[in-house]
Amino acid sequence: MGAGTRFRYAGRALLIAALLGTAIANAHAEDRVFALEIHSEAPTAKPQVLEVSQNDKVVIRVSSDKPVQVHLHGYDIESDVVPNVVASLRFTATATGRFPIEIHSREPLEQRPLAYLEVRP
Amino acid sequence: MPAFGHGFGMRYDLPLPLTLWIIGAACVIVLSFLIISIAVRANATAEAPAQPIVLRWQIDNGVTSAKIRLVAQLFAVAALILVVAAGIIGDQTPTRNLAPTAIWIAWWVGFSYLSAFVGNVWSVVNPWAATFAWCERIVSKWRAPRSATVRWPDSVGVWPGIALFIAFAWLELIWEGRSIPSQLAWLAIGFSVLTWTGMFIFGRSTWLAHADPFALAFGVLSKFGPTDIRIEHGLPLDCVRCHRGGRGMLILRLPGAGLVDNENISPSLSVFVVVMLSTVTFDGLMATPLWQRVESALYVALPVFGNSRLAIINTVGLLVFCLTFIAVYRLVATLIAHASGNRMTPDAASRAFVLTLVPIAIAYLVAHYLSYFLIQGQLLIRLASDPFGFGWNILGTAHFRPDIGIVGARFVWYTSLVAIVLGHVAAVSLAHIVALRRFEDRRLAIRSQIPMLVLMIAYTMMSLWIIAQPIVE
Repeated sequence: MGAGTRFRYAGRALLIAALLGTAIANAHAEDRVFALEIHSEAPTAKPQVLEVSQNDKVVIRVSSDKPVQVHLHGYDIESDVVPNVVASLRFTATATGRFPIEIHSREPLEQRPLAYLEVRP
Repeated sequence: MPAFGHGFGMRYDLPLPLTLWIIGAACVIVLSFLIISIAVRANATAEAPAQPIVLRWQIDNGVTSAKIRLVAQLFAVAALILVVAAGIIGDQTPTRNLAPTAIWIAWWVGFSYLSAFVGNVWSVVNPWAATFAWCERIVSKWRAPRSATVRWPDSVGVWPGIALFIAFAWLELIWEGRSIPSQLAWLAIGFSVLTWTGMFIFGRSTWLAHADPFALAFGVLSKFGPTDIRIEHGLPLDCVRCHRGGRGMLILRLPGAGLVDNENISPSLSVFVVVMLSTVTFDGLMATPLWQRVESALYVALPVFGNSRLAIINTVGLLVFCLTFIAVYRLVATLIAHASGNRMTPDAASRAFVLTLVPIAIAYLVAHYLSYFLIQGQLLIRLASDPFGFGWNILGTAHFRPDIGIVGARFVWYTSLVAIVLGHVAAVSLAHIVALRRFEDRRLAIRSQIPMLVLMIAYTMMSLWIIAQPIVE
């Protein structure tokens, strides 16, 4: 096999590998669902970390015993949560990063975030 | 950065993954020893490099450069007025008002980067200095210029500047009003009054060189920058003293070359540099889980302070952190003096080497703030059309939605890593050059560097550790 032929085969193999790689990466974009609970306008425990991969389709279901507002920073998605109704935040995690999900109630100060959404590349 | 009001000022960085942390730490250690071993094996008769000036441009201090300066200063003054106006009469939601974004992102981070990577632009456009100078010129047309300014006592040095800088750091990191537009506007007004009064009493240049925290801070950062302005005979021009009639020269130099020029570092200025470095690092420390645990523990243990507990804990933390940095650096300077066989006093050592730490701080500013600058800075596009939050749309961009994916996590990780490693290499190399200039004996110069090397490795590792921590609000 001449050097030229080898290069051509190597080039094609690389191209196929790259295409496959991209396909696999995108094929791994999953649907992820999480559930968060709020009691008395405060998170239940230490802030959870919700880990997803980039381009996953994410649904975060939030329930609360008192009316509050939930805000996913960065993506800037807000939702009102009323008692006995489960609110859903739906989005595609296109941007990577670590985004706090906070509760906005009438007393704003000194609150821990409800959770952190980590979108990994 | 700790959470500002309602989503202003947040950083969305993912923590640096462990693998990259290890690679970074390994690079730092290996490169440090590589530089030292090259230094040890280098030709014994080689001399310390002269200041590497790459290019010189004559700038006539005549009409053209004065005109450009005036235009830039007018812009700066107009911006200041706009920011204060927006703060006082505009919508008080931080993300809808020009003031918080303009001050904390465009000005503080923006000018830090400009100073570090371009040059001392602030000294040219400083609106407070500019307006004062204009008033002085107008008044001097009517009566003879005042000669009776109060002399600045030498022993006071830049301590007022240090105090004001710590106050600024407190306002930036701890103050509850830091994202509230009206509070920021009043702060700017108060600062203007303070600055103009100080300039009136002591003279414009004297005040800027000793008490203005921003002239000092941006000045220190700009010593790393690749440009500088000199008057004839190669003397450095403190551009606040730009006098007419002299011929100025714009020089282009290697980044960091300005940091080996340490003839004029006073003892108090060396403390200023260390304080500046410590506040920049404390900013990052405050957002780590470790600091959160300290806060929680103290919070529970000190109910006597009531509602301002968190502010007090963080204030004490800031001051303790500054003092620790000062004490550690003092210790290192003493060790350097010892290692040099007492040819240098600890005081002289601390003044000679303090600037060589600046590249590590600049690298950290890049690692910590670049994505923040690029993501949150996009708010300026929207605010340019609607600075007051009244629903205007002057430039048509009022509905622009910032793209949080403008830089991805991988870009941030690799840029941060490269910046931190390069900053460290620059710092170690510069310290070595300074040592060679001070000590004729090459082996003595290298031996005197060991304490500094240990300090730099520790400081760089701290920066790496901070960016590997998950950000907690």
